[in-house]
Amino acid sequence: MTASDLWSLAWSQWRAATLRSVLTTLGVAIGVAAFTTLFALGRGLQDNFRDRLLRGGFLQAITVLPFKEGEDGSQKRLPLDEKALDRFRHLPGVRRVDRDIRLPVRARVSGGTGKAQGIAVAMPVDAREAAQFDERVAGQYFTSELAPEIIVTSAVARGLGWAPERAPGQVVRVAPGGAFIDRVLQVASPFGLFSGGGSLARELRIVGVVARERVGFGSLGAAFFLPYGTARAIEQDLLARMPGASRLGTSYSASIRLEDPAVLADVERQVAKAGYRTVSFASVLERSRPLFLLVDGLLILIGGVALLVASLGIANTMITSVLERTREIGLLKALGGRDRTVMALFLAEAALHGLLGGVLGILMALGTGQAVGVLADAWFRKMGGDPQRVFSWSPALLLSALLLAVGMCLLAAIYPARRAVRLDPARALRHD
Amino acid sequence: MRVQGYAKCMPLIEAADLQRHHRTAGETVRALDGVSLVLEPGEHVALTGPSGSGKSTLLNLLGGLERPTAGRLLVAGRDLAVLSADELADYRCRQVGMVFQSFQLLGRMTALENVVLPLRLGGVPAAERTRRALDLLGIVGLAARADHRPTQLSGGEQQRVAIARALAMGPSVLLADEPTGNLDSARAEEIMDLLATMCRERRLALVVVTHDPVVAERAERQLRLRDGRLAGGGA
Repeated sequence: MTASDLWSLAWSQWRAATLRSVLTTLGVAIGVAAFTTLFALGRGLQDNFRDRLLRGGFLQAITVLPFKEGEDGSQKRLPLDEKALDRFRHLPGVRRVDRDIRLPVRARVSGGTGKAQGIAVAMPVDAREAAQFDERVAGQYFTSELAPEIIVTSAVARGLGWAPERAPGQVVRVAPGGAFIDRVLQVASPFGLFSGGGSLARELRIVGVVARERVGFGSLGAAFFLPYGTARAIEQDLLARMPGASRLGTSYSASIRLEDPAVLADVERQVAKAGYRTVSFASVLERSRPLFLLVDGLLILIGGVALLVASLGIANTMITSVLERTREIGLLKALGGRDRTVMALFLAEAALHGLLGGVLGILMALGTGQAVGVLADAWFRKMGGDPQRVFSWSPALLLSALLLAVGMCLLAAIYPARRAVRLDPARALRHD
Repeated sequence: MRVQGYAKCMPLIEAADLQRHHRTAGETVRALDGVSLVLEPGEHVALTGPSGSGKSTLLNLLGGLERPTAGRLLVAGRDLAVLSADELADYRCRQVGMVFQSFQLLGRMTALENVVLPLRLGGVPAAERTRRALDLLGIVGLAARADHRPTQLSGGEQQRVAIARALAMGPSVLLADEPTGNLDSARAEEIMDLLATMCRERRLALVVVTHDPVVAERAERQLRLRDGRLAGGGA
């Protein structure tokens, strides 16, 4: 019997018991849909997380801290000066190395009442790929490293008296300021540095507004972003005014930005070898891999249970089919059907359930993904974020789901098919 | 496949001291107990006897549905006792046609599809098997009912479809187990006429198991079984 004969007979049997076939196929479809959806969800969340880390520069960056840990657990401070940074700049795969500049600043509007306060972070002009600038509410990124420009968060824009989308183009006066600086410089009032002969205030034009404070490597908690050169100039002004400023000649931390996340482990090793402590998100992520695998495993387990239930349904349907069609099996054998033909016929019927259930299950999974995606988009927008990818579908996943469905049905049909093969044709023909 | 691999002068079926024993509830039942017989191509034989005399068992042995416990059974020169499972399946496919009292048609298939079924099992190409099945339905007078399902046919018509199916692979032996048992006398007459014609025209050995003396009377030879033995020795 040819393969097309087998399929044709299997299809005719599928149609002969339509309700049972539809229910069994539906069981397979639900199992496949559950498995595929959960798998795609696990993958999607991980991919999403990784994408955001990549875009935020997290996976291409290493923070260097000027500490060396002794064997006895004690910490020894090392200089993180230009000489040290230069050494890092020459490591292969390093794009740039910057001393981290984080300044407490105050901003106010000339002739207005709007004011804001927070941490300003210096951003290299080529760091625009960082996530917070993807999530820009309005405006653009800095035009140059020394431009008198500033990017603020929505909250700061509102504090200054503008709706976020109207803030770009406005000019604000920005000066270093915070409890520590006020105390050291003995500033009488919070905005004392904004006026008089000793003013440290600079007029900066707002070029962009970002949604939130908290994303982007090296900028956690930042409310203001300054071009790196501008930030350094403000810092220099401040240091010139501060007694004992030389102690700030070595920085608290530096950021190494890489060409490619792949070289991160090598660079991190080199920096550590030089005696510095390093922190990188990628290494934290690497240590979290078992957790991701566990989550993957749990999702696959839940989906697997759904598939197992579906395969029990298949086994049940096939056993019932063998019992009901005992005379037919006897007839097939009496007409010259070989044992392997009978076996193949039942396996083909099971494979048909698997194929139809698999295709339907994949469509159901994609439909569910689409629906959940729309709801998730709406939710993310409501929460003030951008749409996120929740599921990760790939042709390999869909093909695997289909093969899994067919394979599972074949496995579940082996016992019923063997039962059919073992039937004695003479007895089977007499079966009531 | 017609009678193959043996000389024309040889009998088509040759059984010698054929035995078939079953174990039931710890006891051995001798369903056939030393049957010997010879059947020639084109010969029409009726197999009669009371219930439990071994008629169906003998028919099953001749049809390759069961294997003998002892004795020898040659069909077209081949010893059925030594054939492998696949060879026995091929024997059932190509050498034997079977007709049953309850027709044994598959309800989900049309008359044509039922006749095509053994041709599918025998690996006959699609176009050839449709042509052959339609020819046979024409021969049994059901060309116009090819697309009907068994439930849309009368008992006599269903048995005609079953005969067409039995003839599909061109067997050399036709075995009929109470072929008229579910039919009225007029339909029974028609079916027996059809079987006799096929037997004569195609030189098939026809073995009919029957309780009906009228059906038995039509055979050239009657073999009567009692307690697993042929009355009068058979052959």
